[in-house]
Amino acid sequence: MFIIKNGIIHIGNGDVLKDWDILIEDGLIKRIEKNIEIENSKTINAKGREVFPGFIDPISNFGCMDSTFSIKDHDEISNPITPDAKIKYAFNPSEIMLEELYKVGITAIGAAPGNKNIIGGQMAAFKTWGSSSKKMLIKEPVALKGAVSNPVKESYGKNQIFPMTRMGIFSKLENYFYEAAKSNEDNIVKRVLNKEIPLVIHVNTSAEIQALLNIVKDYDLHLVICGGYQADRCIEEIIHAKASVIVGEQTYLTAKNYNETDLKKIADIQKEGGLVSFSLTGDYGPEGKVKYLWNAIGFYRAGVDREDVLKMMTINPAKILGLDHILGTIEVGKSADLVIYTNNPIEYYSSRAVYTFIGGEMVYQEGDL
Amino acid sequence: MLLIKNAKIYTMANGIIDKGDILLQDGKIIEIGENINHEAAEIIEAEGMVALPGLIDCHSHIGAMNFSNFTSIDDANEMTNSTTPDLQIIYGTDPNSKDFQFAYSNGITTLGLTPGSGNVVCGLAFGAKTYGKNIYKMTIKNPIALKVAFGGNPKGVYGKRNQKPSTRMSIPNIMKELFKEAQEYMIKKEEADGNNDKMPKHDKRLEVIIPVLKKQIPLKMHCTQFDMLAAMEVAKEFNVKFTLDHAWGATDYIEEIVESGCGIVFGPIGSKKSHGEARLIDIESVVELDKKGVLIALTADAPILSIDSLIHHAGEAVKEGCELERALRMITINAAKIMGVDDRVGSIEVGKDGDIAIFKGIPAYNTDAKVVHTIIDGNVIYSD
Repeated sequence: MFIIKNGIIHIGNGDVLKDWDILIEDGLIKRIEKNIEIENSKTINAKGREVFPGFIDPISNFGCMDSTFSIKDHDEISNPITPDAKIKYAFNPSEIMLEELYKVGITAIGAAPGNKNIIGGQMAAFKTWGSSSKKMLIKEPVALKGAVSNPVKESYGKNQIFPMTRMGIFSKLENYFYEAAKSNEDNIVKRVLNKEIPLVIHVNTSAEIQALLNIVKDYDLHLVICGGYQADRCIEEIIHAKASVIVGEQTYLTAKNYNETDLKKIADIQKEGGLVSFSLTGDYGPEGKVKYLWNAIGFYRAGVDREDVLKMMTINPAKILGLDHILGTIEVGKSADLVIYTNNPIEYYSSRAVYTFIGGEMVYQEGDL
Repeated sequence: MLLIKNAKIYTMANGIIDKGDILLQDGKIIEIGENINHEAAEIIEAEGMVALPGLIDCHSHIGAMNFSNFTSIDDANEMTNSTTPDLQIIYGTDPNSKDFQFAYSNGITTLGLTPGSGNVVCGLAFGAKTYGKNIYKMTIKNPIALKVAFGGNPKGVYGKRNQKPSTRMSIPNIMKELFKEAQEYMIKKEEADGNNDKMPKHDKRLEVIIPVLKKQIPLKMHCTQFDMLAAMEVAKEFNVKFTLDHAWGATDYIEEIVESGCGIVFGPIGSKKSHGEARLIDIESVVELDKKGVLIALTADAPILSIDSLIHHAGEAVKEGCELERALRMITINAAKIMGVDDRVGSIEVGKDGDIAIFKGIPAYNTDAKVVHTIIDGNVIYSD
């Protein structure tokens, strides 16, 4: 049992409570009130400090790459269509623990197949701290993941194996969806079409996004564009399709600058009801944890309101992954996944994470090694 | 003639002036003080703004590398021979690259442009301003260093071809053999004392190493983790000036670094942790090294990371407990010193080049600090 006293509490939905207390018990947020006093509970003085819901990276390969081997566990490169490949079988707790994502406040990820297959497989949501994949697993499947971007061509086409062109990629995707949708047998696409889970596709250029939208326009589904460096160039089509966007990592190989990505324009689809988030994962896998805040700062510098940037880090990714009933905001009844910063890290470089809680456990305290 | 009025000036030479003016003429800073007035000068009102010397990244590959969705250019790694000392990166650098625009629009006015690390002895780096159409006119000094590389990069290139070096075991030896050859060449030249009959046959590959052996330019040594020890050993054996570039894992070698007297060019950070070279990516090490008197600069290694993330690096040093002004030195005067161009750039002092970045907000402190004007050689070349 913990009481976090007098913090500046960012709910995650845009509201901020100053000098309120949070009671954590049995892994959950039990009370949010002023002046909670309970004997024998551990107290954390958060006066003047900023309390956030644990951050969520909605598309991540951490834990799933088997990085000591050249053959990676998140890309089943034997076939460009592998809908039944489940990322949960690739998730290795000790590998994700190496990156210590929780030290910057990332408490959950959407573990995903990589970007080398047109349909790469089924995503799962995991906590970023824990002793076994079973304990860390939040839910699966949380999405069907695919890609129509350069890595697919590079993976197959370079070896003279189908697909080596965008026409090959998109035609294959179109056929796959058509066949799976009309099939009498149960399959993962049916769950996408029932809107149980979203379709997450790695797609970068506006031409690729428009081709993808053309393919899915006849289906009722929740499309999530990830990567999306040129999503700003076809924003109206994205809004019309009620699609969500997870912007890929911005700094590696100068991706954002070369694409001249207008982050404010992408963020503004939130005003039309769309969900926007961002990720440490770019075209070729994830970057290190310090860049998570750099990417948040990218949106803030582009003119996006501070609390709206926070939504992209918390409630929006929770909604995209279908986890908003248990994660994504500081509300009574939700999982006690929290991070406490000295000051607001979206505004000040000097800000340091001082505590991280996952499932009610203090998994990080500044100064601990 | 340009007059910047009422700015908070981080001089990087003589402390911080809370509210001061800077007068620029003929491309140079000619006066710094309070209440400077000059009728002929164009005025930039900078009340409430911050003036810094133009920012510097002394380890960059822009103009010679570009890996995007649309193009894959690498003119910085001539990976056909593991020792290419006489190759000049200036010949691979395209000033029309958009990365230069990304640099100056973020207040970065000088770069140390260097060959990549695919070879053991990679070639010659140079220093240039970030604005211009002709790289030779943008150049401040060429060469500024001879670049050499340890570890996974050269090993990965040649090992895959079953060529040398395929292991760390042979990398220092390749350097040492070349430097010994250059030493002998230099001695023969000195002994010939201008006598053409006794002069050794001109060898450009060895010729370019002489300034290193004479401590006129440093070795720019790409290394991380325990490769640092090999780098320091090579540098010590030949008694040369050097910097350790990238320097991930420096925390474990603080004593050796301090004793060696070398400079450190730290970064880029933000790679995922792994085994081997990415075992420890410790920007916190620069705080302690700086306190112990080691000359530290930071690098984004652009375009591996976007050039503007140089400022994130300084911000991360601040997060780790570095004083703001010390962190800003790591992207201004310290970088200029490492490049050997601190007589021209890196601080706001009378006589130096008129390279000034005017920010709204303080870079490396306020995450949304933005460049309002970038001035190079006394000309406003960018305004927000």
